[in-house]
Amino acid sequence: MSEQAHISAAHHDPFVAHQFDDRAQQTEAVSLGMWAFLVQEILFFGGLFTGYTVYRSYYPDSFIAGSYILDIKLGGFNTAVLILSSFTMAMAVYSAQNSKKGSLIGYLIATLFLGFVFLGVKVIEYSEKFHHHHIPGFGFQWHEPIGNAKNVEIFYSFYFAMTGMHALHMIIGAAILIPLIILAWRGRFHKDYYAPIEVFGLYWHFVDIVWIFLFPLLYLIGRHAHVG
Amino acid sequence: MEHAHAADAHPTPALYGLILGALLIFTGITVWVAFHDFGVLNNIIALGIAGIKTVLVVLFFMHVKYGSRLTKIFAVTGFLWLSILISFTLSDTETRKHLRQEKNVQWPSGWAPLPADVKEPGAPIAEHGEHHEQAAESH
Amino acid sequence: MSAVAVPKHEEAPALEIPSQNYLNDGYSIRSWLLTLDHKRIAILYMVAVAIFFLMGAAFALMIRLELLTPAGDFMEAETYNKMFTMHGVVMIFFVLIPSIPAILGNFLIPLMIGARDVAFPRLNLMSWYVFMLGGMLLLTTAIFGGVDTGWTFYVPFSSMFSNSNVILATMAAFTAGFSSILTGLNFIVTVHTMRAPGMTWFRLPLFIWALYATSLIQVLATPVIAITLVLLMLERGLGLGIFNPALGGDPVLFQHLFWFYSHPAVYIMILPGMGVLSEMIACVARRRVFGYSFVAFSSLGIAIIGFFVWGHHLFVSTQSVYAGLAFSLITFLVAIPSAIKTFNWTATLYKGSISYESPLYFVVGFLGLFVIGGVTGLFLSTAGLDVHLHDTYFVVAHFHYIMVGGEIMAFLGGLHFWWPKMTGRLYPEFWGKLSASLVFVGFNLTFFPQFLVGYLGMPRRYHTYPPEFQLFNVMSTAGASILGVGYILPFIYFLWSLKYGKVAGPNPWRAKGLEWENTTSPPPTGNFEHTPIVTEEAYEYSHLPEANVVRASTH
Repeated sequence: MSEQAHISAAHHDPFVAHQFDDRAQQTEAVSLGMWAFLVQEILFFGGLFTGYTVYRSYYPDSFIAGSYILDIKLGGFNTAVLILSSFTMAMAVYSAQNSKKGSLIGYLIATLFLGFVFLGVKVIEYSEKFHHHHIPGFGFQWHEPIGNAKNVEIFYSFYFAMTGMHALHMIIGAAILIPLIILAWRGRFHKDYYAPIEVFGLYWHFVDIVWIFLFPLLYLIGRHAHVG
Repeated sequence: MEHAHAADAHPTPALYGLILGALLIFTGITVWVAFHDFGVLNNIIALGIAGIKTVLVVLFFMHVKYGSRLTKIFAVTGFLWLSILISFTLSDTETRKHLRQEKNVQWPSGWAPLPADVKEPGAPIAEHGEHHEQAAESH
Repeated sequence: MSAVAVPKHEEAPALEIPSQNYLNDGYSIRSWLLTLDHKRIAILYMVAVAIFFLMGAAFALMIRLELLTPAGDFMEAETYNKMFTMHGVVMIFFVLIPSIPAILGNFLIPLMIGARDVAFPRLNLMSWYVFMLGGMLLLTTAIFGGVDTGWTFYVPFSSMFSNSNVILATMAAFTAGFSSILTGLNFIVTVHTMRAPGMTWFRLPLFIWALYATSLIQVLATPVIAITLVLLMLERGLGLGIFNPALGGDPVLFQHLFWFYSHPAVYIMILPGMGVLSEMIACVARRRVFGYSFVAFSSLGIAIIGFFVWGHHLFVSTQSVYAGLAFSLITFLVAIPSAIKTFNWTATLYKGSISYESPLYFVVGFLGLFVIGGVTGLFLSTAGLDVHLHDTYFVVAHFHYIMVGGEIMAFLGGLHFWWPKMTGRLYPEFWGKLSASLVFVGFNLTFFPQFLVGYLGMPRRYHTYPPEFQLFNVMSTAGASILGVGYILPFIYFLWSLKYGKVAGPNPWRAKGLEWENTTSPPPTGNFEHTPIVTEEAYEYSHLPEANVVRASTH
């Protein structure tokens, strides 16, 4: 039988939820919780990556064809934007860890701004695709001399599913950033309590990682075959 | 319990800046490589560079390098499990794709067998969820 | 070293429901619907799952009524298709997957590890609301005429030809799956970070190991079916073609993505049942589980190996024979940890001081039925045999033996075993034993003939069959009615016991475990007066003062 401990119920640390014993336990739990969530996100996107891999292996020429007419400048620009936003997010966490409220707010706003830039570019790309009838399910037509129309449509199905799901996650991230910025402005975060910033940062970096894979897999297939 | 947030266990802005630079450089490299034909290496390099960038983000921006062993295990497990899904699926598709043929698949209308002399490719019956009439008798 | 003195039976004072417990800590609807208490959330899940169980059983009744006669005379083919589909969707996503984890897991995990609550109580409540949202979507599907694709939603039928509510149904399954992910995530973090002082991993009850392994699967597998269903919705809604052979798609890809989750899902369903078994067996045999670490590691082993076998559902799908070979071989391997558990449980019972109480009936029922279900899985994992058995009633019988004979039996047993802890009341012992017996008899009569008729060639998912199979089908339907009675009885006597049952006291089974020894029945909202400090291994029944245990008397 277990002995009963007379641990004082004490610590009414306002930043520690009732189920936790202390700040350290809470921080560890919250961080692990976000990582567990990210693990399932890897598998969630992973289903799309699996389908992509299978069809790229089945239809390499059509995938090259579909990829070729994607705008590599916009894609590359967006990649840089997201990488920069990961940097600003990491700096936001650093600012919170050092109780630098001003730079925390600044870096969070920068992250949000870069997120909007990314989404804006995607809007441009998507509307261009729409005008060229390259959106599957919305009157897809393929008139290029390369690639088989049916199979290129499969490429674009995955292009839109993958970038669309990614963009949805960015929108959710942006939506969460806004209250975080407000709370930061109200002085909620400092070196003794910044877990929400850190944990949101994990999410944001994950969304960046997804794009790190999407960019080469979607935009850079076989560019060498059509130089010039 | 390990306190994952001891003040001395965190990267500095300088380090973050270095990682940012490395990520941008790797991005440039991967674009450059894409425009040159290295045969089968193109794919390996592309995925390899994406992998390196991911490792940099995970270790430094996401603080896994400074985190608990458990965090590292979680991070690795996600990618490992995805590799199971992809590799075992490919074990099927790669070993039968040589059997796949482009066929003019014609879906029969109603559920009756297709007549031998149909020339028009059949359209799928339920277009975007529309209803259709179906054969009343069961199998 | 003895803790709170447990009075000898003959000196026991009159037992009382504790005046302050989680059930009377607020009576308003708001206090239930906005609760953060894991125990109340478990009760919320219990009510929901009970309702879904009745719904799934109603669909099963329709199936068995139609199959009384060879001709399709009770309903149209398409209607019958909807019956077995809805039966499957309800039972799998809304009963079997959540049952033990969301009810018993939610209630017991913090208690068993000595914590005040789970790591994320608000996320816990949210998971229930998400589950209910899925249930609403499911009800909407039913109201709008159901879905007829089979719970497996195979393409291209589901994406192109079915006239039923595929998108609604997949949304319901997606939502229930999200609830499952949140539950699993919560449990993983809870077990890692919130164990009481002294509660090392190898002092944990085996129920916790089982639920932990289950939670790993929930987090790793469920997102894959989530994205698969999204792709199916897009395919059907937009006519994409990614699963349409006429447009270059590969329907077998859907099956890969689907079964990557759905095979590990069956381990989500059975592992918690195995956890319940370990707890009940230790208690009814009055000793520690034989080979504790083997049983603990076998839970993890099942969870991990279970991710490598999904292709055994695709043997006859045109999957490559090379992949089939690998999947067949690994499927044989996954039987090993289950066998290890079964042998260890048997060794625990052997020469144990066994008490013939209702939990034992559920234990024995589980062992018999699970073993039959398990070995018939080996038939099916033999790829050559599967060519003959696939899509016959042999498969149906196999998975019902495991899911119903195994998991539901364990779930019922667990409900009985922990009912006194959850409610403070004892159910009538006689009726508990009767229910277990009726379920055992009815179950075998329902499903054993299905092995025979399946082996003889009767295909599944047809509302008609050749007349020579009628005898077995009639037996099966007869068994189902007995089974139904066995399931209805607990609804009645459990509810009866809430008001008229004998007061249980803190530990009516004289069981080991923090939930029995360190808190009242029902427990207070905060679980423990003081955080326990654990100093001994799990199941140290030898430390109890009495050798011959006298139980609290029951009806």
